Amino acid sequence: MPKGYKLLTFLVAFIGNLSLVVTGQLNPVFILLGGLFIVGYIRSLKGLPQANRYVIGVGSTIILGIFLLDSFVVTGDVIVGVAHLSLLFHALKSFDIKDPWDPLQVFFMSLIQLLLASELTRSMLFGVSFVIFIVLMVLAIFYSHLIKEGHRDLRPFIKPISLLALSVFVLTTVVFILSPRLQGSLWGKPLSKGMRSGFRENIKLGGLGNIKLDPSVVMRVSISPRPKDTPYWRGITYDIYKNGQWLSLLNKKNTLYGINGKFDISTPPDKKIFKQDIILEPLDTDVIFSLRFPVRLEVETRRIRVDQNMTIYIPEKKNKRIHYVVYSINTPLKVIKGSEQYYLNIPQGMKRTIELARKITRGLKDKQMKAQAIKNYLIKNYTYTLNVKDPEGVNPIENFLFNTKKGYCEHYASAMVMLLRAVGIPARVVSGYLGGEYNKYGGYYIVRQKDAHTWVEASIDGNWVRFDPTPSGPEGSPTLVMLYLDYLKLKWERYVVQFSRYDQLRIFRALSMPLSLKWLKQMKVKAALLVGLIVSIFIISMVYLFKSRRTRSYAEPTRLYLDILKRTSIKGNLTPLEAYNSFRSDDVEIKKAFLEFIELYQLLRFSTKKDEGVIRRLRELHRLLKSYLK
Amino acid sequence: MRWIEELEQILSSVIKGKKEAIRLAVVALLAKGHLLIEDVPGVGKTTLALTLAKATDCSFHRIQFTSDLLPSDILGVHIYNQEKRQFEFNPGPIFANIVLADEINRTNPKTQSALLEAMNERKVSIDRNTYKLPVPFMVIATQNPLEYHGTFPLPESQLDRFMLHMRIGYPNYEDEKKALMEMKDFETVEGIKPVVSRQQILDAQAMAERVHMDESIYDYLLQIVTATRRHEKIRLGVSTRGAQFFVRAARAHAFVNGRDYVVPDDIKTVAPNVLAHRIILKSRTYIRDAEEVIRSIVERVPVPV
Repeated sequence: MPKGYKLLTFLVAFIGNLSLVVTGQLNPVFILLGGLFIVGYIRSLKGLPQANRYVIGVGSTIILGIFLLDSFVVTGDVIVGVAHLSLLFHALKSFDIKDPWDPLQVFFMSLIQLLLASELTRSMLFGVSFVIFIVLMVLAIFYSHLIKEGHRDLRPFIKPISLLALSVFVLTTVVFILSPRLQGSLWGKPLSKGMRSGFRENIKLGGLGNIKLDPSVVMRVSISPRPKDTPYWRGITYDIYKNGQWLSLLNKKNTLYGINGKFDISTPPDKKIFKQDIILEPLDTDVIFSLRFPVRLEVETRRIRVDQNMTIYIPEKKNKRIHYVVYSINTPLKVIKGSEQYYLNIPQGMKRTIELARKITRGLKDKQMKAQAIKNYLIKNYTYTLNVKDPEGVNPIENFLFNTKKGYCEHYASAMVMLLRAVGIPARVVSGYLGGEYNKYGGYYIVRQKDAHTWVEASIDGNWVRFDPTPSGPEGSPTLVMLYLDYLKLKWERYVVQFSRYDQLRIFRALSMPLSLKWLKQMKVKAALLVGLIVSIFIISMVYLFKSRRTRSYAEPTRLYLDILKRTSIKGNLTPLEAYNSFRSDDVEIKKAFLEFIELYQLLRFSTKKDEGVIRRLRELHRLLKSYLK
Repeated sequence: MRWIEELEQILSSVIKGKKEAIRLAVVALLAKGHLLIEDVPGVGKTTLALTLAKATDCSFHRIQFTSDLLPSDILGVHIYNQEKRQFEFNPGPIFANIVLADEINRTNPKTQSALLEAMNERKVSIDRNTYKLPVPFMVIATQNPLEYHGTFPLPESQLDRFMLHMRIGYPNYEDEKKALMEMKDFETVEGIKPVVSRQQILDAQAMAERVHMDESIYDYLLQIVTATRRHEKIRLGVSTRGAQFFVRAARAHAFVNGRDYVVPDDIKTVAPNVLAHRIILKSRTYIRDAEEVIRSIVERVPVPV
C-alpha cells in the first residue's frame, strides 16, 4: 500500500478520534489507550511488520468485553460506551493495516465517530473536524480509486481534487441554507444536562457553603442600541419570604399565541426600544431573560407564557439551547393596583429588622429617599463575600444584618426588601443576570453563570423602581483573544447551529426585495451578499475545474502542438505521427512543415534536449501553420 | 545509423513487401530479444532469418524441430575422448549467433523448455558444466498456427520469453509477382555480403539500451499494460517481465528509427507485437485475435502530450 494512502488513513482516524475527544465527555483512560493508534500508524508508515490475526482476534475480544462492561456497568451510557469502543478499535486497527480494505474499515469507524460526536457536542471544534473529515474523505476516495486505476504519479490530481472538495463544501453550504428545517432535535433528546449552579428558580438563603464562580456562558446578547448603564437581564420576581426561602406566588400566567413566531407582549409606548438578539444556553428553567421590560418577542415556538411581572416562560425550551429576539423598553413596570399589600409581608419575629429600618429612615419622608438611604446603609456597612454559611435554625436575613454582616447579593437583596417592607414600602426580589462582558468585536454581551444576580424592585409612585444594594466586587478583564474566540463561537451558534427557517425566510425575503438604497442600508443585505458570494465561488470553481481539464498548465511545445491540433480539427486519441498522417493538405511545403513541427515537438517533449534554437524554430513553424490553417 | 538502412534494404530485397516485419526483426536483434514468427509454411521465415545472419556477419544454425528431438540434440553432449581420457563438450546447434528454431511447436515440451531456458539465461548447463552462448544471441522461432495437427502448444510462461512475435503473411499481388519474376534461390542468399560487423551490432545494442524514455512515456506504457489486466475479454494480462520487454522493444524501435528518445508512436507500434502473445483470451487463442484486443486497448489509452 502506498505511504500516502497510509498517511491519509492515519489522518482520517486522527480526525475521528479528535472529534470525540473535543466533546469532553470521554474518560481520560480511554483517550490515553486510544492514543496508542499513533504508535500503530508510525509502525505502519515505517513499514514494520503488522500484528498477526491471533493478536487482533484476542484484542478484539478484550475490547468487546471492555465495551460491555463500560457501557452497561461503569459509564452506563451506551453512546459514550460506543465512543470508547471506537477509540480502542482505532488503536487496535492501527497495528493491522495490511490489505487495501483495512483503510476502508478505518474510514467507516471514523464516520461513526463523527456521528457520535455530533450527538455528544455542538461545539465549534466539531464543525471544524467535520469539514476536515469531508475533505479527507473526498481525498481518500479519489486516492483509492486512482491507485486501483494504476496511476503512479498522483500530483496532477491534487489540484482538481482539492477544487472538487471545495465545490462540494460550497454546495453543501448552499444546501444547508436552502434545505427545510426540522422542528426540534433530530434525535429527540435534550442537548445538555443544564447548568449546575447560578440562576435558580427558587432562592433559598442559608445552607450554602462556598459558592464557586461558574464561568460557563449562559447567554450571548447582541443588543442595539447599547445601553449606557450596566444592563440587568431580568428573570423571575419573588414576593413571599417563608422559612428562609423566597417564593414566587404572584405570577398568574397568560398564554400568548404568536404569528410566525412573533409575540406582542404589550403595546409599546413611544419610547426607545432596545433590540436584544439572544442565544440562551440550556438551562434548567423555562424562564427567558431580557431587559425590563419586554414588549415584543420573536422566537421559534407556537406559544409562550407571560406572567403579570413580565417574566416570559417558554415551557418546551427547558433544557434546550434557544435563540430569540426580544424588544424591551427601559421604563419601570407599573404596579398593578391592589397588589401592593402582598409585597409588604414580613415573617414573624423580625423585630430587630423593623427597628433597624426605622432607625435608618428616621426623619425621611419621601419613599424614594427612604429606599436610597437603606441601599446606602447596606452598601456602606456590609461586606460582600461568597463564603457564607448560615447555621441551621437561624433567620438568614437577621443573621446577615446583625451578626455576620457579610453576604452575597441574595443576602443584600433580601435584607433590603425586608427593610423596605418594614417602613411600608412594597418591595420584591428580582433574580436574573447583571451585565456580563461586553465583546467589542461582535458588539454583544457574554453573560456567564457567575453574573447571576439578585436585586430589588420597590413600589414608588406606582412604579416598580429598581435598587441594587449589592456592592460591586472586583472583576478581571478578559483577554482579547478570548473575546475574539467567543465572538466566533457566537457566530457559529447563531448562523450554523441555530440557523432556523426564519433565517431562511429572511434571506429569501431579502433576495426578493427590489434593489434600492433603503434596502441596501438594511442588515439583510449581508445575508444576500453572503449567498451571492457563495454561489459565485461555486460557479467560478466549477468553471475553472472544467476548463482546467482541457488547458492544464502545459509546457510551451505541448501548448503549440495542441493549438495546431485544434486548428486542424484532427480529433481522436492519436500519436503525433498519426496526427501527421491524418493531416490532409495539397501543399507539399505545408506537409513538410507539419512533419518538421511534429518532429521538433517530440524532440522537445520527449527527449532531454531543451535547445532554445529548436524552440524558436518550433514557434516559427507554429506561426506558419497557423497562418495556413486560418 | 547507416548500416541499419542497408540491412533493411538487403532484407527487403529478399523478402518483398514486408517492411514492417523486417523492421521488427531488426528491433528484436538490437533489443537483445528473441523473435517468434507464427505463420503458415512458405512465406519466407527461414529466408528472413538466414538473410539477417548473413548480412550481420553472424553465425547461423537452423534446427528443425520434430517430435522426437531431444534436448541434447540442441544443446550438445559430452563425449568421452579416448586419447585425452576425458569428456569433451560437443556443442549443439544452439551455439550460434542466430538460431532458427523451425516449427518449435512440433517438438515435445521437454525439448521446448531446454531451448527456452537457454534463450532466457544465454548459457547452457550440461552435466554441471556451464557454457556461455555467443553474443549476439538471437533465436528466431517459427510455429505453425495452432489449428494444425500434431503440435505441442507452447505454455504461456515460455511464450513470455519471446520479446516479439510477428506474422509475415502472404505478400500482396504486386509484390508476389515481383518475387516470382526475380526468383532469388537459396544460393543468392548464401552469397550475401555482411554490411555490419558483430561488434557494431553489440555497440548498437548497448546504445539502444540508453535511449531516453520520458516519464510520461513510462506512464503510457504502464497504462496499456495494466489495461490488459482489467480487460473483460482477457483472462491473463501482461506480466511485469512482459512490461520490461515492452520497454526494451520501445527503446530499440526508437533507436532503429534514428532517435535517442522514445515517442508515443514507438509504444503504439510495437505494442501488438510485444503483448499479444503474452495474454490469454477468454474465448479463442489465436494470436491475431489477441492482436486485435491489444490494438483496441492501445486506441483507448490516452496518448501523452
